[in-house]
Amino acid sequence: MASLWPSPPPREILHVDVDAFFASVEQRDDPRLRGKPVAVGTGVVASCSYEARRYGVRTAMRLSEARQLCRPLIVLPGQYLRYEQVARQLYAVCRDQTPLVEAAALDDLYLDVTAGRQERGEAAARTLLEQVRWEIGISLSIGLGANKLIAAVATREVKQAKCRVQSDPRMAAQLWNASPGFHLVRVPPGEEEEYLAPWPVSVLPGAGPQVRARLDRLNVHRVGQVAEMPRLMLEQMFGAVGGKLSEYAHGIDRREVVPQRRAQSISRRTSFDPPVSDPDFVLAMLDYLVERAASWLRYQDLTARGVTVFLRYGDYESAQGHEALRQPTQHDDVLKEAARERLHKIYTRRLPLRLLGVELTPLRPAEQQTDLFPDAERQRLDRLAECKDVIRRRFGFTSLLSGNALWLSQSLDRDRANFRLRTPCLTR
Amino acid sequence: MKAVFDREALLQAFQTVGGVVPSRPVRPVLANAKLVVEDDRVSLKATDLDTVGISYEVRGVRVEKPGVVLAPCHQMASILKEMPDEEVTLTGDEQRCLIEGTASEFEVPSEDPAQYPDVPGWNGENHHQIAAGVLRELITRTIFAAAVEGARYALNGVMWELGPEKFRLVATDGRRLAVADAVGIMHGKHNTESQMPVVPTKAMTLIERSLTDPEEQVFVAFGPNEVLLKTARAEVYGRLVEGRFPPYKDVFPKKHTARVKLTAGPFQAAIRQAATISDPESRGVVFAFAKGKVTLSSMSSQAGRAKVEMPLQYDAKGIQIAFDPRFLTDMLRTLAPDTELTLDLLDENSPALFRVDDSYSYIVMPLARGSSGG
Repeated sequence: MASLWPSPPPREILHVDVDAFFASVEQRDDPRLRGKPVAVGTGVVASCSYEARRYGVRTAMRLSEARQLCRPLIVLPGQYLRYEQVARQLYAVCRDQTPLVEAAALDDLYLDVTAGRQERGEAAARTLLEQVRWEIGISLSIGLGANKLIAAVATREVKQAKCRVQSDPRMAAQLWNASPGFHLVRVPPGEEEEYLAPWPVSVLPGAGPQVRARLDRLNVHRVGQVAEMPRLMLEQMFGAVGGKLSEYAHGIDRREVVPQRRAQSISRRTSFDPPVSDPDFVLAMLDYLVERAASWLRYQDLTARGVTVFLRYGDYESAQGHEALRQPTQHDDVLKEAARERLHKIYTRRLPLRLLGVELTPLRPAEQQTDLFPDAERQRLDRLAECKDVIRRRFGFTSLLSGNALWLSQSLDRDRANFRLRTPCLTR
Repeated sequence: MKAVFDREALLQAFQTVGGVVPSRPVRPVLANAKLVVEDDRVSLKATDLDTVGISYEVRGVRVEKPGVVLAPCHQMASILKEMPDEEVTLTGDEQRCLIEGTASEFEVPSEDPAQYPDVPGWNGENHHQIAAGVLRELITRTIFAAAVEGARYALNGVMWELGPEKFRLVATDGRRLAVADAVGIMHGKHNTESQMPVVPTKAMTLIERSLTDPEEQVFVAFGPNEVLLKTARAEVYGRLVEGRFPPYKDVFPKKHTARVKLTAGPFQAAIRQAATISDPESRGVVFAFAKGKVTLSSMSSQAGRAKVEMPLQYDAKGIQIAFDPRFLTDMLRTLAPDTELTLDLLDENSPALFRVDDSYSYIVMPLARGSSGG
């Protein structure tokens, strides 16, 4: 039956994927790696450049195997902080297009760019390609379609085309300068089912190894063949998943692009082995942890309404306490003072500490409203914090240290990015 | 004390002074209002001992025996509200207060009237005089802009700037500023331009509520720490907010690149439409002024997006500026829908100035657009 209401305009979903993410960041930062087969990972390949793929190296392959396939392979352990930073830049560029950005993985984003009846998907995709190429210096593959499934499959088509080109060394050099159309596949609305038909069943979400094996036995390998199967039959075979498979195979995917929820808290912690009892060192470490957390807070453009401090004594007993602030803030000084105050209240036993941590919570988005009567002192502090953040982002966090952090530098190793703490969330 | 009251009038009196009585008073006696029954005049007084006090004349009374009695204010109001009678008889002493109707009777506890603090009365020799209706308009046009709490400046009230030819009320919360002007008559040397007294919001509400007859002339006087207002029926006392009012004249924009003419009603309707799509995270509405129209748009990651167009006369350079929509609707709400106003804009980071005639100015700071996280 025809609906009373006109059907809503088709959605426009972009799927953005970075080409060989970790490897291209490494190649971008070190010119010596460009044009060479590069793999990032320890034990297994986490990411490999297109040059390495030509030798048959694939993601998730064991490194030993990869080295056998490709003798000149350059293997790097990877700098995950760096990749996160690039991913954040990418996310920010995408946010310029629409607030509806879902990060499925660091280098794997969905954007809902639906704009009523006008089509802006293609223009948005081209802008993204340009901007990311010039601002971040990495290349993307983008799929555009009426839903997440179609967009993701379209991205796959781009990647396959790129792999084919890469196998021809003469064309590979031109890849970087290829026209935007080369990095983009658009599936026009209405052609979803047709487009999916020739693809292998494995592109459908929910079609895992077991489902595929059962379909194989029925001699069903392509999406088109799944679409031809009656929905009832699929439901009988696979239950609820079957119904979904039938919908997906017809190019129908109702999943929404779900933007990330704002962080609820930001925490930094470290453990001490052996436990430490030097109060100056403990306070310096507390300050350092607060500074790290606050720097991330400012980067996210959030403010905190309170600080939680937690600690664990040498005998594994722990304590924690929360200090609420009167006004939400991003300022190091206010947060440090609150954390110190709370530490004094909860550090009641005369025992060395095994663990120390801070957590900023609850969080609020930063105030955007500007003031009629500017407060010179506050503006000065804001500018100072901004400068500090910029310097640290560029030259590493420990390029600037507060005075009492010198206590830390005497007893801890540090590199450009940070002190080598014993907690993975900081040193990874 | 014994007297026969018109129930409606007594109820109204208790409700009016009820605004003063705190829900959790610092001293139990302050939960009461003081009913002073004299042969020729009956008045109801209340104070919170801290910021405000009021003395309100009760009319429609037949006095049988003069006297003073304390009655629990909120309780009295709810009793009187429920009674069906036209007239009620009140009898009271230090222990209790008796309210009688034809078919009902209530007894509430009372206290020694001597325990109740004095409510400062009118003593203004030097004062200003203004029509109640005009003052009321000045208050509604400014009070909403006052801050709930002021950290650096005294912002949690309305500043009265009275001079020989000036009757001006100013309120700001540091983000927007409302300035309303009228003409008052000065009696004696009553000038507050150097004092810049700030009357707390609670006292302002009380003053506003006691201005019932728009035609009547009311009188206002300022002391070093207090404000006193006198109408035919009521005398209101308010303690001034301590602290300095910010140098508000400095924030008036000196120049503008665009001047837009607007009508309050349609403009407010457009803003309210655009503001339906906003959440605490993205409160802003972006106003894009271009030739012949303004486009209002808002966007939120959770609530979707909105776009509203409104035609207007505009032929300057295009400007895109974002505001917290509540700051604008707060102000527009106080104007009649057909009020004409002008809007002066300089650029996206500078304050915007709304003006109605020459008597009302409203300045709003825009929202900083820029990095919105990510």
